[in-house]
Amino acid sequence: MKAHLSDGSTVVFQKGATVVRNRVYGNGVRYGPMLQLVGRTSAIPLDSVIGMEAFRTEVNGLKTIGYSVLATAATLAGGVALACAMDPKCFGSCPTIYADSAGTPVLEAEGFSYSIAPLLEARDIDRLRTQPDSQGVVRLQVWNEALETHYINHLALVEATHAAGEFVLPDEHGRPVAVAQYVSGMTAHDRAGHDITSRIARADGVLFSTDDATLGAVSAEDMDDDIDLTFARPIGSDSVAIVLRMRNSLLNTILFYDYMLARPGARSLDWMGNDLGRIGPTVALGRWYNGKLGMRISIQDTSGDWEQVSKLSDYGPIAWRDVAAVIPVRAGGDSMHVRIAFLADQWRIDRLAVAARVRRVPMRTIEASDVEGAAGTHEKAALAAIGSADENYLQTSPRQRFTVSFDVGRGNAAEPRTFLLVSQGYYTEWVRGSWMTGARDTTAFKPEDATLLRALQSWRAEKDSMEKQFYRSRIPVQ
Amino acid sequence: MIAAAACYTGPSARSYYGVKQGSGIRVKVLADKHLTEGEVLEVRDSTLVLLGKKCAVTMVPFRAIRKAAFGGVSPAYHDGWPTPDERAELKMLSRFPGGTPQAVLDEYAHCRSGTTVSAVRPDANEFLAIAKRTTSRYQQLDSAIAAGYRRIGVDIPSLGEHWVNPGLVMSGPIDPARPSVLIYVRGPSGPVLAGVAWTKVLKAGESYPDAPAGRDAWHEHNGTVAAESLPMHHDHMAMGTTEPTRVAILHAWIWISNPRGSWVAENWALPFARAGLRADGAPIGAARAMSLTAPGATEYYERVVATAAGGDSITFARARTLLVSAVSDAMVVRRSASGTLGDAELARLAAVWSELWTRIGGEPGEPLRALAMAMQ
Repeated sequence: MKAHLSDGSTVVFQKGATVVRNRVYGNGVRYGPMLQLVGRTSAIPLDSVIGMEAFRTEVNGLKTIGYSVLATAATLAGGVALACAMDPKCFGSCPTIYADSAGTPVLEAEGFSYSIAPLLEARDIDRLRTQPDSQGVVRLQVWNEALETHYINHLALVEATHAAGEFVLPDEHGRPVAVAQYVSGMTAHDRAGHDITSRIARADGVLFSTDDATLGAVSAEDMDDDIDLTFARPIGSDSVAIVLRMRNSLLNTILFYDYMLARPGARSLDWMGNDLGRIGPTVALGRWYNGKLGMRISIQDTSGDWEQVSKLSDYGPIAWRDVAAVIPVRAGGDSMHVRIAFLADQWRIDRLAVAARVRRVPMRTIEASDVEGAAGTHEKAALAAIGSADENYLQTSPRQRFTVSFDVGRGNAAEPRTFLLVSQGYYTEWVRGSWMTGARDTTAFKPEDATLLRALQSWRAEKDSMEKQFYRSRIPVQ
Repeated sequence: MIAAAACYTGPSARSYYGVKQGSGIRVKVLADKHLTEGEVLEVRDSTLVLLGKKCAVTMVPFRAIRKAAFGGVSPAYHDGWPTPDERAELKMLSRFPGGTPQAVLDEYAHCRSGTTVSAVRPDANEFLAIAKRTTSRYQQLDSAIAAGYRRIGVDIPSLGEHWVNPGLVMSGPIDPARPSVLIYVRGPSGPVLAGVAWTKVLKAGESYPDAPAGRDAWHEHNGTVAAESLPMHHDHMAMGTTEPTRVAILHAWIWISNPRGSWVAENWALPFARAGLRADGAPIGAARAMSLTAPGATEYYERVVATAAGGDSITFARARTLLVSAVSDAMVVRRSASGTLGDAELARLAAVWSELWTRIGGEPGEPLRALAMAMQ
């Protein structure tokens, strides 16, 4: 267990710790803000703790994990960190990836948002808008702007070469596809019966979200919203791609921060460190989560029945994501009817379209060629750590950032390229000291529908304030 | 006196009846004026589970036993109970030291009722053929990684590296074309696809699926990855556990043949494959010894021994010395071999393995002795 204190020091409890009456007890070793050894301690007051996390020295069971850290340590800025420590609505959930646009960082992607424990380590693939510089190098900044420890296993670029006019993006399995020939005349209606066609027609910042009446009507038996699409059946295509630009709402964040971590208090440390270290409970959580959240895509047959043909996972609430769900075109009738179902208000959709042409494209994987720390130092150990999916991880702490470079070559103007970022890893959320003193539940989190319903009801009450506060509370990076 | 003499000189592991034949030890028991004879399937805390004639499974409480004669050993009874040491010894000589799987009990119940249940379903071969066709693209590990498989656990001697597709584990259908696990071993030229596996998420008390290879072919993993990787703590055959969510797994060795059968969980051909060698009909002891020569194997077996030794660093250090010596001896055989190993080489390897665990079994501590017996 590690406790991160408000003075910037860290106490490591190699054999775990106990939280009793607003104090943390255990055989601890204290390190100063610059990671210098300070001494031993056996008790620390909870009100000096910004956050605590469980950590592992082994990965994959028996292999000792190799951690590389960036050469430049970062200390937590007191103001934001302390405010954040008090409030579950603080910014969080995974590494954020930026590209430089004339000196301004532009958010491109967020990595492995739902990999909250080592067994849940996952591989994400995100479409990037950025293109290489004049030297043929793509540079991305990876930030830790939350109260989390990030464990980055692998970063790589996938280069997809395609025709002009094609749009390349990952499909539901993370495989790049090129889409074209958008179907015109598509109509879209939400569950409340509203015509939302124009709202989702373009990626213009005008977003779809669940109608408040639908959100207010959720019950234990029915927590869903849906969007029904109708469009002309394409001729000559055996499949089409539902193309979306979307992100999760902060409902997932309420579920994670409030119900999984804050309400159980210190028990959530046990849950993350022990329960999520065992195969059975981790699979139970994953199955429940996958069954309730994400996006289910169904097509209607000629007898009016719906058949689910695709499923999209959750991606995270921070970066907009372009993704395609490739679905079959079935014979019968002039029109296709597609239903996209999801937990009420779980998504913000900027654009939704149907592409009649979808194909796989030639791809090339490019490994990182350089990692630079915040001070511009070239970090060989960090580069080696992110070079392949193995037992070596790059660990980053709040406020740290690094720049990763990929030498993709100058390319050929006649052959457009789109780049996708592959990121694999996991992160551990810091359980705030204030969550431990203010625990409301007497048990650790259980994946149950009743909890989801309560989260939906909390979300409806808090969403406006939460959305305002969340994006303002990023921990500033160095 | 007879018991004391047996204890003093002790039959060796090699001469234990049950160990040599793979079935449990046989026993004749006089309990409550009834004489029961059969194979010891399982030793529970207070009961013997015996398999008699015509699939008859009988539970005999220790308290009820007046006399018992076990083939090859003489446990000492005090007031109807074996001592803890003797119970532990009997457990290792039973057919299922970890507990009888419900599927096996079901099988005997069927057998007793006259219902015939075939263990391998008629379409199992077709199932394997589909799996082989559709997984040939994963001969290159990079293709598996791109398809979402990631490694969980280390390279276990008889089980290889498990590369798991979490989405397929969660979604559940047992589809021959989409196994949720790919199994690789590291050969001289890099990772080699050895087999595949399917997983099924079960609730507490739920039986293993019958298809495609019968319930007996499944086992399960519910604990930590570290625990599941160790042979003595492997949650193998943990049917009946009260864990609310269980993950059952079915191996199929479709790329590197398993001499004991395609559906048998452990494949002792893997150690030879890692070395780039062949060994037709090799005894398991020779295969286990060959597994000592794989990269990472010393670390693995050290961990196995350390776990059994508990916190006893002195005992662990002695056991480790024996292990390192055995690795060295096995490497001598490996380095001098090429192509297919002959009888003499296999015999030498088997001797290395047997000697290692005989000597480790001589170290103090019941867990280490139990480990040594299990490893033989």
